[in-house]
Amino acid sequence: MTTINLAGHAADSGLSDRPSAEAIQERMITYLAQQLQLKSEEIDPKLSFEHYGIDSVVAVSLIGELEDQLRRRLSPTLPYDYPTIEALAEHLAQPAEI
Amino acid sequence: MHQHTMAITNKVAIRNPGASFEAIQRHYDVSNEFYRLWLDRHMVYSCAFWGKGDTLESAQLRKLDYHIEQAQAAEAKRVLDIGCGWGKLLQHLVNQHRVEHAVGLTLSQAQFQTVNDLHHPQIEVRLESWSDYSPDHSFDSIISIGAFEHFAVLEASREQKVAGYRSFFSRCHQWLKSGGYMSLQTIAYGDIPRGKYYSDPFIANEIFPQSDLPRLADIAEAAEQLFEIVAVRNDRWDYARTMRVWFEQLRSNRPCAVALVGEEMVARYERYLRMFSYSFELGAFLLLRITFRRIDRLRR
Repeated sequence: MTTINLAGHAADSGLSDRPSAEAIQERMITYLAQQLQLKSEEIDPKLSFEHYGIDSVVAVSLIGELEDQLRRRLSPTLPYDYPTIEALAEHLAQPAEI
Repeated sequence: MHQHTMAITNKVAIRNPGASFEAIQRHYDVSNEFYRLWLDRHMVYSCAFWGKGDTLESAQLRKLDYHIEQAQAAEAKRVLDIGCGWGKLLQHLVNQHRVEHAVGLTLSQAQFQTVNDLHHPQIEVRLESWSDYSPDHSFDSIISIGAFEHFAVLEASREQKVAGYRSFFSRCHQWLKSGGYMSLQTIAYGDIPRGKYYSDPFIANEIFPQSDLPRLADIAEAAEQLFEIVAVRNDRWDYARTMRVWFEQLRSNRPCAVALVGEEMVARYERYLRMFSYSFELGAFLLLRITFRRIDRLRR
């Protein structure tokens, strides 16, 4: 996965300011709960995005949300490659490949 | 051939099948200064044509040159630009490509004012829909970049959309000289199932009201027996990149943008630009560049 730093943000060079998988997961759950009009506790991170009926519109909005959290450019294919909240959060918590 | 000896005044009135003045102005009349913060310096607000080593500005000029070439508009007497934006193509036609007279149509008051203020003797700009336009003389070429997206409303059925597009092509056919070319650029639905349109109320309500995208098949059907298709390009990666550059420029000018139009509007545009960029990357949206040649002998 190629990632490019967003203009105007400092390079994501170190490990220190990288959000944990838990923090990323929490952000996703909060965002999706709001989009799907569910309570946070109703969202199971182990279930697929498809299970929640998440279409490409919601999926790309989610990726935008995560770009802002992680401060780096992400690919919109991520929810397809990592089809659960848990898998995607774990992947994103790994160091970015530049 | 007889059609060009007669006046080309429209015989039958057409109701604008697409976005109204009000809907267009909600998007394009936000503020010229705001758009200036994230577009290139010529304010070209449509997908660029990226070549090696291009900046946004050079890629936008490459795009204009591409359409001028496809429409065979260079050195023409009269060229029509449907959806002329802030007028860069009109200026490029008369200043760089020796076109004698360029006419631009727009529904945006801000764009109309900007082009009108040029007071260029070879440029005419009209605050008018193509559906109401009735030229006194025919055209050698027609170019329409990033306007077709507004030619159908969201609620229209497929049949209604095709009928609306067909009235557009009928008008263009009527206005164009024998053998004339038209170059069209539009976003289209790509890998999205039919019947399930891109159902994001955010885009439909807050970004492009009263507008729905076409599909390639709808465009092709609507142009049947009026225009033959000479070339089709799908350059969706060009728009993924253009939208991303706009997004990044808006981000880096964020404080100025917020001061001009407020936090909520800036956030809305950021979301739209990034979502569209992703949609092009995924193939949910396509960027079509279609070259048409007028069919002169119509078979009934």
